[in-house]
Amino acid sequence: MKAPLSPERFESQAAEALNDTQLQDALQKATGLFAEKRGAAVDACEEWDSLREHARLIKEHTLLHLDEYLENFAAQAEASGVQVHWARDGEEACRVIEDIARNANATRLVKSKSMTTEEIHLNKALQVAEIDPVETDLGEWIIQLAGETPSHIIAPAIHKSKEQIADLFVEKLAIEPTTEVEELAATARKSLRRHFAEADLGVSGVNFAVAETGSILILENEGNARMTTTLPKIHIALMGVEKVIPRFADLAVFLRLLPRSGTGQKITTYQSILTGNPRPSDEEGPNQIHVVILDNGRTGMLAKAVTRQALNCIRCGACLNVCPVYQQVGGHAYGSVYPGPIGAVITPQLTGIEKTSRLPFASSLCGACRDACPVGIDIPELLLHLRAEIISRQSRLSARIAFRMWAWAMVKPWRYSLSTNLARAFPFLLPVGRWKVNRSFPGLAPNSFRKWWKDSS
Amino acid sequence: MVEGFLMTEARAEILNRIRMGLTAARAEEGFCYPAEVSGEQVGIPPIPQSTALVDIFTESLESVGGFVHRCGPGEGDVAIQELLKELQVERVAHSGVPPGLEELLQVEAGVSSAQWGIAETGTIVLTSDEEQSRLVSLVPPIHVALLREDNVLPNLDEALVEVYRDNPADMSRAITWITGPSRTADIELTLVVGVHGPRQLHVILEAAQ
Repeated sequence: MKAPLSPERFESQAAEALNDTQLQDALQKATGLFAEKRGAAVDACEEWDSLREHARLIKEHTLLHLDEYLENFAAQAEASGVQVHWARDGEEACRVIEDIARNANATRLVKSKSMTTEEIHLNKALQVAEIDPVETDLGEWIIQLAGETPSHIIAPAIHKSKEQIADLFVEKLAIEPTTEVEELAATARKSLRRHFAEADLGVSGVNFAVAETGSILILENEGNARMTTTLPKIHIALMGVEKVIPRFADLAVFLRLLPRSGTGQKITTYQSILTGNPRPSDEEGPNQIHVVILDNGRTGMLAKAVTRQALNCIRCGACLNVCPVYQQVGGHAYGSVYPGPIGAVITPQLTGIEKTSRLPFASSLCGACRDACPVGIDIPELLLHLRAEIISRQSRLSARIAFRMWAWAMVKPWRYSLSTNLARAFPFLLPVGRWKVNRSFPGLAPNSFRKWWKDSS
Repeated sequence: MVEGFLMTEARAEILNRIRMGLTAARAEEGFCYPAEVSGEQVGIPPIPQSTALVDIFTESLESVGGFVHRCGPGEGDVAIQELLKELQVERVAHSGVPPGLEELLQVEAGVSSAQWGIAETGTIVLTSDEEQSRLVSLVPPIHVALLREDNVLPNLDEALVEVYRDNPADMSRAITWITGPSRTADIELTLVVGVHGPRQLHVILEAAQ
């Protein structure tokens, strides 16, 4: 059996991905198309730069008053009949959700797409508690059937070809072999309707939570989130603390940014704006709504401006599509729930840098992610910050001595000359062994520039 | 009781972590509060004055695969009947008469009103206060919505103002914005319509009196 993916093995997982020709085709096609559509949507929006800047300012303002806005949100939601729960970490969030299910004797659960539920490994926890979660977003459902994890924030199954998906459906659902995408989607429609009709409980994520009104918003294209939040008698929505925005009117900014950045759409097909428990006169909808507010390492990013900006993220996935590293290695190579540039900066902060210290180095620092980010996160700056933190913790004595010597040599011209002459005479002394594993070292020129300058003048 | 205690504890601890983080943030070198921005409206795409809102609405909705049918004042119901006949639909569910789930799964089309339209995006807005069943707009393969021309708003900002109603307590509990047929691109980024929701969305635009 293949070893489970891990951020500690980024290099070997990336190497494997580079040798997977099917994956390379899928990635090239998907990231290219996503980036192209996003580009077209952004170019068609003359207000793009002012929208981004406005969104960044709203996020910055909100994060600097996060306690107040979260309390406002919770108070408004509770006033309209929603039960608000708080969870310090993923385990606590899973326990809260299990308890709600257990209290209601609910065993059948449908889920709409939510990266936050992936982050807390909710499905695994529910299965242990003998609750059967069924993913209903087409991409999520495919990877659930395959026993895999999402490889992209908004298109979880982009690493798979339609042939692979067809084989999976033939094996798990006993359908007639087909490679028609329409038929594969129709299979999902048919199979999942039964689950929707029978489910006791629906779990969703949250795209935006409005402090002023206690509303939650869920954006989607398929309609499965509408089903998940309407058909079962209990709806549980899981949100990170950073999802809150101050005012209802602020939504206009984010509703213009997120779909364009994610899929290049002007707006997603469905927006569900849910404010409080349905009234007794409402014919449809759940009779219990729960919102679970999750920390899981987020509050640790608040103290510094450089790390705080990562909480601006609205999970659009634009930085993945434009990243030359993600484009080559795909999401699974990162071995973390959140892949790509944003994953490389939030994963170490959410789970600690001990086991994720390779991720901030999985970048060429080209800055394409920063340019694509709709909420102005300076991802390269954050990558450098994390790299510095990792090096300062992990640096070995030999590296410290080497850099000390480097510093000594660089401050005086005679020391510099001496060291380059030494390096020229004894090139094997240069500490570049590991550096050469994936690169060729050009070596030093036979004569120095200074000597050449002196001789020629 | 234990659970209740844990809940309060989790809430207090998270809020405390936030306050400690923010105290450190405010002590950071070069810290200053960002400008107050909430409530200020920026980045609103201009709506060309020369083009009627209904034309912009129509163009926006058609660009994502929705269908728009115009009819004269008071002719909405007739137009719906004609459209259903044309689509050869026999079994229909109406949002005003909430069907049971089994019935809903059987019908060929769902008919509802839409409270507002949004020209900027070609979106229709359905509220739970007005549409007793929003599932008729989701479960059947065809959704037909009746929208009055004078309820077409220029942009998202104005739509948010309308549904907000000045007081969150008065807001409809579930507000659904719909722009085109249900769609997915989860398999090889190939667009497929009608994955969970309708394959077809028809909006009957009824002229104002």
